[in-house]
Amino acid sequence: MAFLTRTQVKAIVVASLKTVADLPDDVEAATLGNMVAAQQEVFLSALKTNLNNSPYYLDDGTTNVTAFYDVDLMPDTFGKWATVGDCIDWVTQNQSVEFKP
Amino acid sequence: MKKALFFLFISCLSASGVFAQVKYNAFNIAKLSVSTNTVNTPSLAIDIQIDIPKASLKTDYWLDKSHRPKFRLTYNGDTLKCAPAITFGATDTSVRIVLRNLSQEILDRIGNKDNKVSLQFDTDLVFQYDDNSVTPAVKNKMGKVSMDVLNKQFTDEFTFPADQKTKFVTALNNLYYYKNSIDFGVQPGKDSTSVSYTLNFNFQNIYNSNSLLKCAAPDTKSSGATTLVYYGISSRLSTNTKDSLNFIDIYPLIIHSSNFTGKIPYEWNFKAGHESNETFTNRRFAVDASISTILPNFIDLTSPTYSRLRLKPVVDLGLKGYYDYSSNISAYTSGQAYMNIYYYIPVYDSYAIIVNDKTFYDFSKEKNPGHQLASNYSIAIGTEVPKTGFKVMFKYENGKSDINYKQTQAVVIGLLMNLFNDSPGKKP
Repeated sequence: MAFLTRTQVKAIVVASLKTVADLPDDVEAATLGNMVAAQQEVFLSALKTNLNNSPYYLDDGTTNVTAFYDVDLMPDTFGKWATVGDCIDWVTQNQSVEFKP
Repeated sequence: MKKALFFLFISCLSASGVFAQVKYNAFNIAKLSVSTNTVNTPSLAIDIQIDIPKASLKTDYWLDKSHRPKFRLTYNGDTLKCAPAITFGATDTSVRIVLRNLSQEILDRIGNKDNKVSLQFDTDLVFQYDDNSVTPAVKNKMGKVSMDVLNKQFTDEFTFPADQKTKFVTALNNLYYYKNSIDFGVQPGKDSTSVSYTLNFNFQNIYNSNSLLKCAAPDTKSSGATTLVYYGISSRLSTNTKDSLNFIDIYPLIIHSSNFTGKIPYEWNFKAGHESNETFTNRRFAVDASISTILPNFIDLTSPTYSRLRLKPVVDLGLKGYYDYSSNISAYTSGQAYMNIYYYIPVYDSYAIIVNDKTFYDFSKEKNPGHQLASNYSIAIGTEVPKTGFKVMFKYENGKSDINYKQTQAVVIGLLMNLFNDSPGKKP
């Protein structure tokens, strides 16, 4: 695996959204545009924290703690996501792996 | 005999592949760029995109530290007063050098022509990749970019554009980025012939932008609280200057702190300044401390089958002390306890109600002889338009102003706009 699959990213995004909202059945279709600043900041922070705290998955499916996942986020990154599904796609495509020194 | 045995031994080793060489395909660099992050710990990542079409880098390869390239920061001029924390990483197509523990100095110097801070590699960049340009894909091929190619590219091409630096610093300027806004509105009068025009204005900015990047020693992942000092002005003005909902708040001192990484995300503010109505007949010097957090939902007007997020309410709890020197009264000192709540409530599949409420208790007998709670609130009702977002149809305001305790109500038909940034979803 090495990089997170879309399914794994979705689990992280959903967990992060739960800090600011209760979720519908079809969460991917839900729009993100109604969050105010406080909710956006909390969501982005939770997203990055949850990504960093996820174990690193090697290609053979085992996990390792000497590396972690990350994604570069700015406040205007939020504006790139009309829906939760857009957020999941974007994080999946833009994730990185970082190695602890 | 011994010679024959020796040559037989060598032949066996060759056949077993001991002397086989790993083939490294040589590549160049497609692009050097800088990627910025301002959430949690601010960071800059120097992205080195390898010129290798339809390939995926195998990050497992670098779990072995001996496989990672050796590199260092180089300086034209003085070494940095604050040394950044540096880590190595990768995306699907790039390797990246991530810098944290940033300072204004490194921001100014990185990628500059003069006084430059740059990167130098002391070994080749060796990597493992899947070649997806053929079918089936060939896995676990080895590639490398020589350190000479890397170093020449950094010398000749590496820049960090000024507009990107400015955008990075602006994004770190938390209150400036998120909370500055202008709203215009039309307010029908009590009779059918008159209207008044309203302007809601919020502006805050940091005193010292260098304080946005502090030289510390964070861990390489998420960080906690940040504390910054701002000034700000907030107002509601109307062509009807006697509208008791109008106010002008000027705060030369706002101390703002936030921590969104803990179990209970919060931000707190301490403000000191002057508050008044539009005509300054009611006026006071005030100090104000408040804490904001997010509460669980307690209203559900939609259904899980509708794809709508039920956003949780945002609440501020605060305490204010003031010296009231309004006209036509004897000046006095008192205080208020208050709670603000902002609640976006989705209704059915496309409607929404936005409630903004301030409930307060004034301790002074001059303003609150009955020792009662008071409030002022607005309710905006609107609809979500696909691909356009939420549109307010009308807004109803009612309640007592906490400046002069006068009761008022208003229906405002408004156009909401933000002129300071393009982030969606602002408080109406």
